[in-house]
Amino acid sequence: MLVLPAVLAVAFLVVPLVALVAGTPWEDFWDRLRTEAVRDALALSAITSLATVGLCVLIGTPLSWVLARVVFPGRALVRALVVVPLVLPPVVAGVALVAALGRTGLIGSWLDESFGYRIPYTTAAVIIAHTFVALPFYVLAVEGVLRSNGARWDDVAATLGAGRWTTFRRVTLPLALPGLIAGCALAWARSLGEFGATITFAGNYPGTTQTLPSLIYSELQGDVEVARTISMVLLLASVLVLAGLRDRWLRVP
Amino acid sequence: MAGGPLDVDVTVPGRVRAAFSAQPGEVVAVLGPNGAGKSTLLHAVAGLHGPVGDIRVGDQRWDGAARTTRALRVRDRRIGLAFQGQLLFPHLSALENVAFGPRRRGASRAAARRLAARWLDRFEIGDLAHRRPHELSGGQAQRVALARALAVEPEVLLLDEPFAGLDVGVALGLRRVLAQHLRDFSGVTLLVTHDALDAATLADRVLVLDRGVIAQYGTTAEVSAQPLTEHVARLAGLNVVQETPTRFVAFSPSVVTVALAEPTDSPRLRWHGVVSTVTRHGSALRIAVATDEGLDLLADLTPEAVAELEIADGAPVWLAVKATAVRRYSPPPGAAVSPPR
Repeated sequence: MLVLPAVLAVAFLVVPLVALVAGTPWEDFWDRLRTEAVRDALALSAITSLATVGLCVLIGTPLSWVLARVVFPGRALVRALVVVPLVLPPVVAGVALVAALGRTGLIGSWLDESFGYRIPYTTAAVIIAHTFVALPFYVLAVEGVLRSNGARWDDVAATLGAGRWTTFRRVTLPLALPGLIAGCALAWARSLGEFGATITFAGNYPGTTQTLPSLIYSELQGDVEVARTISMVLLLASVLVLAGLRDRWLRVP
Repeated sequence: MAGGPLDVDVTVPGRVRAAFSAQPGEVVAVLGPNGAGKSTLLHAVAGLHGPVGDIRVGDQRWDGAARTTRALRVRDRRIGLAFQGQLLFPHLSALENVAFGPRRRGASRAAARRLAARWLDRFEIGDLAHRRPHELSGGQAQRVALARALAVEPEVLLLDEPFAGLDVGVALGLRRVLAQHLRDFSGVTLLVTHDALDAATLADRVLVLDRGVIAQYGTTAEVSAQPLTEHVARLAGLNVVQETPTRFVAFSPSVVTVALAEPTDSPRLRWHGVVSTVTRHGSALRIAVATDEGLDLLADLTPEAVAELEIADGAPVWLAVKATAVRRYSPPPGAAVSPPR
């Protein structure tokens, strides 16, 4: 009774991927990746996704620690707010970013008037859009591991004379390292594939804001073969992330 | 480092309320049933429960009931706390675990490591310095935990069930090593344990906790000879019966006679009840009897006697004790007495 729908579900998930692999023009795979547009997009995707991971670590780690360790009024609300981008349609995220940081936006207009600095349609905008959607993935992964490691190690460190910062650096962080790495992988994967928020907030300009997904979108109306080749690259990247996280996700209890 | 006497008067709401003092160099065994608040008391002294009342070590105030004194932070109290279950840092080697405290207390990296190596040697595990906790056996990990607690040169040493979960042989070896260090240690030691042997071999005084309050506090000899709680009576291998609110009777299971018919001679020290278990105890059989009054009493019989009386679980029996074979005593004035259950 349940087997047939289950088989259908697997086919539903697998067939498109197999079709993509089969439809990839393997004979001139490398040549297509060497065109200037693809190289630019590759470089931009690499830079922006790594910058996104860096930003997530920088601001996401302290946030995770606060959520996991510090009891304060409204903690549940803060956690809920942090998770919103997880379920928000990416395009809406883009629109929201425009509303906040766009030329006439809440903060954007002030930036423009005071410093003459405009964020939208720059590489910085790409990184901001990516961080906006990737941060929740990172925070959830790191907060989870901080929570499961518990505060008891903090107690041990305190009885041995360690202050909060030393404890964080010497004990909490090293113990949370697996979670940190998983969080980075998730954030990187999310950033690499980000399209909706990016194209809404940063546009699709070759060299400055055209990442791999944006290029796929453009090439679908131009050279479908190129689109498939790049899609294949992103599929491989996803498989790599999955392989890296296999202990976390693929272990059957 | 001598910290002077320890004076404690603390309350952790809903968990433990305790006031006691101990002299420098003394080892106080903290006994009591599970959930009596033993670990909570240790953690409270360490400051892990925040401000909880009055704690003084010599002329140093760690925690003050007066609002003007701020409680000393956990990290500023010179304590060596060996947690239940060791809680060694899993990402650090044995050596690094022990060096962690001295390093935080201002020793240079090299000095802290040298000190840690010396402590591991003293606990006879110098050769395991570079192992991670998951590569250590339970007994070895416990040695590292004790070395870590002592390496900070604490003024108060807090040991939470250091022999729990260890094999008998391993526990014996560790008890011997720990005894050496406790002899040399000049501060107060609080030792939480479930084992009468620890109290007898390591401790000078025994503090009995029952349902969050101190049920008895005295020298090891006093407490084991005149237990005021059934828990400690059992640890001391005695039966204890509260005759009046202020008078207790203690007697060994070996002086209890068991009969099927009501005894006629000794009028007062006899109880009727039902056998609840029969277990082996050395060369004797120990039968536990639930009396009609709600007491749990033990009697040691020879296997022959058990066979002759045809004693089995659920059998009704009479227990009797000669008046000359019991010890009668009253709790010292001021002792918080809860009736033995």
